[in-house]
Amino acid sequence: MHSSAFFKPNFGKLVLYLGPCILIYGFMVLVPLAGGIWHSLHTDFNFQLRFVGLKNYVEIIGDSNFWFSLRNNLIIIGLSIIFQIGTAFVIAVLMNSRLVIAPKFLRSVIFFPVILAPVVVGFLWVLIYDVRNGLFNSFLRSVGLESWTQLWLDDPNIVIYSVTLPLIWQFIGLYLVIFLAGLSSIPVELLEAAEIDGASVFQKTRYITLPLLANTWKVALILAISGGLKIFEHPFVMTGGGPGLSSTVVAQYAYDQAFGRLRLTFGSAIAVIIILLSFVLIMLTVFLMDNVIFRKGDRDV
Amino acid sequence: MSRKLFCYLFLLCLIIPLAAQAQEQIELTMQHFQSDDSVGAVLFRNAIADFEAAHPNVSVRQETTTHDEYITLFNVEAASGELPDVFMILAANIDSTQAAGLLADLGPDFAADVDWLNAQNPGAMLEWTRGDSIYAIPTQMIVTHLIYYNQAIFDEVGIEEFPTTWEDFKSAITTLNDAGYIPIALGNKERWVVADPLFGTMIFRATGLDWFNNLLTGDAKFTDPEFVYAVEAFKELVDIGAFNVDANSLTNAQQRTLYYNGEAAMFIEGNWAIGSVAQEAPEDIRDNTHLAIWPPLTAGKGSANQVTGGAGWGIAINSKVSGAKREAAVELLKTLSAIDYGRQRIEAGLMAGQVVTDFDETLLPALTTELNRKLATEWEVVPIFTNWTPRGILDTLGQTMQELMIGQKTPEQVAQELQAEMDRSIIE
Repeated sequence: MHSSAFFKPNFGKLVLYLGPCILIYGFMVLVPLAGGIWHSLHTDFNFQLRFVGLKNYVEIIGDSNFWFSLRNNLIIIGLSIIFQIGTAFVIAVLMNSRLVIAPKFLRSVIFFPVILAPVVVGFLWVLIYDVRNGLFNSFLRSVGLESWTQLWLDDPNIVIYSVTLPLIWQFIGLYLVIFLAGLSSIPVELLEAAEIDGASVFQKTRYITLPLLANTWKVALILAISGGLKIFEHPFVMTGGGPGLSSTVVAQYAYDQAFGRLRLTFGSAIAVIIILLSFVLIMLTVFLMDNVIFRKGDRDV
Repeated sequence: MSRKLFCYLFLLCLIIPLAAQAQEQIELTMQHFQSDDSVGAVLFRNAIADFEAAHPNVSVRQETTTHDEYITLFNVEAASGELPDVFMILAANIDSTQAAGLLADLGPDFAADVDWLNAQNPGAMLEWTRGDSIYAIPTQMIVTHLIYYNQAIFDEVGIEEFPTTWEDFKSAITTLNDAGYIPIALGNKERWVVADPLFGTMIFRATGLDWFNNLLTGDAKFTDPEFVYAVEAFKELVDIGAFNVDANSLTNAQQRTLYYNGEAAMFIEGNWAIGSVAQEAPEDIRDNTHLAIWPPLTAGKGSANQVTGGAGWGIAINSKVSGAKREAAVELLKTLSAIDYGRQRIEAGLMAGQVVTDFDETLLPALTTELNRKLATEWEVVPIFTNWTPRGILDTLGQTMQELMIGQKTPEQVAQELQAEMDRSIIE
């Protein structure tokens, strides 16, 4: 029996329906990407383009400031995975297990910060972190814990963590919604059968929910890693990368080199390296998920 | 028959207006950042509107952004060679933009209209002049270093007059600290606040003008002891607690707030803050505010009356503009650098790039009169340091001075990194 034309459009129709989308994607993403890669193989001293091959890349790899800002990104990614995805997963499981009242209302409230613009979130948290009148320090002073007050955005040792907190706060809702969607695809009968067999909430989560959510976890991790490497607005608005380089992320570093030092081609090279790093980290994560954490056999129920 | 009549009438209606358009319609694209409601921006836009009224065949299509965004926008456009007809340009960008062939030479236009040239303040023309070529007109005159201090607080802690030696200044800082005041309110989140208003003039206190001129020709280096001495002097201030602890997370607007609250005895910014003090400070703070500049450094080679200033921003014409369009553009520039325009700016409390000897002083804030008086009798304007060094120096200086403040770099390391950036900017 050959497939009907309804379910397998011919090539002409395929081009017709997918064409505009691919054209737009190509024009807005692929062409600038190719242009950026080409650009990164040049220098632009005094606005004059000169081909230099991989010289920019060699310089970046030897640049300690680049590795320091990458370290900041990795801190953000690590904290995001633990606190954004982890918290969202716990809340999702709790909401699903009917231990929570008004889950739909809670879901909306937790999701609300996701739709805020990063600049708004940044400015809001700058006010919260203000040393004299901000929420945190005022609260600490009012309960007599003045010695715990910090220079949240001035102390180079803690500023990267201060800048990560708003990020985590903002996007827990996004992962919550993703996990809720994933959880709704788990057949209820499985969980009921386990309950009858006397499994606790923890055991149900560990042996049924988690393996069946492996794909959802993969998606969440990929989002967290690529988001963590792309992050720019929050640190930029809150501290401008400072003090010094303490809260500079790689995207900001590329921006500073391109527009601050007037080295646009160097900035392009940093951007290309960010893409490569993203790719490597994501491939690594997928490999670990598929072969180490959840072996393929676990997920076949 | 009536249909034919209608067609002919219709054609007539099309042709007559076209024939009546004897003059060529010129549209100039102009890019600037005078987009907000500040006095200077309003005067600027009004001057353009007056120009359009006086030249009905010319329309100026203005594209505006904010000040900080403009710098990025300009760099991107210059890199791709796509600047508009008329645009504002930072003095630091003149040499690189000229090297890329993007600027029209206004030298011949100035030579043909001597009145126009003589109306400009020589100190405001330096940044645009290279030999016989002139590449922009000044939009203003600015002084980027002024210490705004509260005489009432000084009296309260027992400092009778503003310190005139470096040691006296440091002990004044300690006295103010002990009395519970923030000696100098600083908001350095944007990094240029230390790089220019605070440190720019301090460099000249330490090195003098000769070292600066030699730096630009490559005969002096940032690593020379004179410059390192300047960085060490600034470090001294940081170490004795001259600044508020959250200096690197506040903006320059927020540093003024600390001063207006009476929490700080001084703040340092350029003359653009005079308008803010006049309008936003409480009356008692405003009436007690006076102006000063850094005292001389103990072992410094510069003189104590030098203060950084210049035009900073200018307006240039794209080299690709020619013919009637270029004439219109030159007329627009003349309007924006006329003595009348300069007088309007001065009477509004700003400073002008033109030499205006007759203006109405009665409406001016007291600080403006004080500034103009001190500039006329005591102070000497020296170049804004980062406007004459390669563009990357401003960014490097901002970053390394911040790192110096938090103890991540020593003065020698700051000097080395600056010199490395200088070498890269010239050699690459």
